[in-house]
Amino acid sequence: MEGQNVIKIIDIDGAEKQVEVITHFTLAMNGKDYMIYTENKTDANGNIEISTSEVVEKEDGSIELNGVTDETVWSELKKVMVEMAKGE
Amino acid sequence: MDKDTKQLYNTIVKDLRTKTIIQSTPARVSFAVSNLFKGIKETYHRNIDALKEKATNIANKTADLGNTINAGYNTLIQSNEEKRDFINQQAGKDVVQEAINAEVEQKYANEIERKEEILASIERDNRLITAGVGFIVDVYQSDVEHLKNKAIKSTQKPHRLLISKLFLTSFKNYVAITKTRLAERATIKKGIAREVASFDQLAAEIREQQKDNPNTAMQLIEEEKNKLSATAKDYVTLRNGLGYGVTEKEIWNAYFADIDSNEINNDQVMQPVENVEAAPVVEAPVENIQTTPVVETPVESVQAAPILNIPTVEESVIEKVEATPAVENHDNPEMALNNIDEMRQGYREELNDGYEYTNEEKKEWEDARLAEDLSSKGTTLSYQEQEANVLIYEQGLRKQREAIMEMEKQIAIIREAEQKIVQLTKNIDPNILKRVQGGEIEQNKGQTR
Repeated sequence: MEGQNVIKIIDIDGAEKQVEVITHFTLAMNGKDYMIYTENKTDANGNIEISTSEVVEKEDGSIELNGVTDETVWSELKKVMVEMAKGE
Repeated sequence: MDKDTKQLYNTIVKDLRTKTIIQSTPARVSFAVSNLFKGIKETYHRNIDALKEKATNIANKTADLGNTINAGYNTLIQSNEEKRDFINQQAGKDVVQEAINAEVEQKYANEIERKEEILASIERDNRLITAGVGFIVDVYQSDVEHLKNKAIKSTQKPHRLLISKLFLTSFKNYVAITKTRLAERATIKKGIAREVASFDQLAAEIREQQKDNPNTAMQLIEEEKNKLSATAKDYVTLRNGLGYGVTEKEIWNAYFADIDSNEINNDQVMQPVENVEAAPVVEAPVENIQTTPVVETPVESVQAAPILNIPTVEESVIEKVEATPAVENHDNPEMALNNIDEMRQGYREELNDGYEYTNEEKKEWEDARLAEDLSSKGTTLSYQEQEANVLIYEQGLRKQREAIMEMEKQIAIIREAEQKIVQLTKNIDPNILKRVQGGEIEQNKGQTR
């Protein structure tokens, strides 16, 4: 995987993966951090799969990636993505 | 010569003139002089009486004035006493009022403080909102470096999306631009912070030196503020406007949001959130993404494949929605219906891709495309309705994709059959094969006849 924004993560099944971080930001509505990243996997039509996780830094310095379960937050995150794509 | 003396003089002269005629008689002269002195005496008495009367009037007037003064003096004294009483009475009231206030404050101090904080918070939020803060994001891409050195573990499944390459490219470009902008702003921020820190220190010194003259202190601080650079002055003005209780981060956010807002207003590069929101992100369930079959076609087969009009679905939904022409808003319902009929015809033609669709599928496709086009007008459909239409549209796309994949499977079978034929016939004498094929042609011709 190319690019300078590549990091390693351990997925939920314990497998180590390299992912490219597209962006990492704080959502104003709740002050939490989120990360949008991709393994650059594409489907049959050439669309690319991207993932969004909540980033939580633990006291020991490690980082946990949690899912986004709140619909309101997810809706806001989609707005962020569309806004970013539009704001080029 | 006063009036009385003049009158006396005239009397004497008149008498003297009268007496001149009888000058020669001494008795008459004596009589005239006697009359003269008599006149003088009478005049004198008249004057004395007049003076006495005047003195009497003055004395009366003086007495009246004295009475008036006394009366005024008494009134004044009385008034002052009343005033003194009133003030004493009021002072008592004030003391009571102060005691009540103190009791109320003591009793409700916490409640009052809490409400004041809430009010201050609301005011601050209003100011921040006005300044444009809190819009969406504070991107800090530089933190990716920070993430690289951390142990990162997923504890839950991420939320996944399928997006087009175009969308992703725009996304990345935005992030890159933002990163550059943040770097620029970090420099600006550093410069302003240094200048403002120096100004704050100076302002503190002025306040200390002029603590007994707050107005002078304010004036001197204002003069120092005017010496700041334009950017630092803007920052200080904004900070003062936001008031107390605002964090430094909020002030910086407000400062840069203000700049963003001006840039947006100037360039008109961004759209209102409502409009942007209508552009759908293609969201597919994770399960569907994982099970989506990928049809791999051998390169040789592709090269040998006949030219088929297979539509590809590379265009993103976002792009497609934006590219869809808006429906003309006809006032005439008949014209609008004709227009919709024309649109439906156009959608039907989109399905001329070599695959046989059922009537139900055709109708579903037309309805979905029509709903999409009508929703692009954005005047009659709610956001939920637009989302529903997008879902229908996506279903249509999926069906189309399934159809394409089915067709590709059939093509693969045909090619496989062709390969087998090639394999089976490769050892047959080409002349015999040619004759067989020619015979078939001839046979077909004969059947045609």
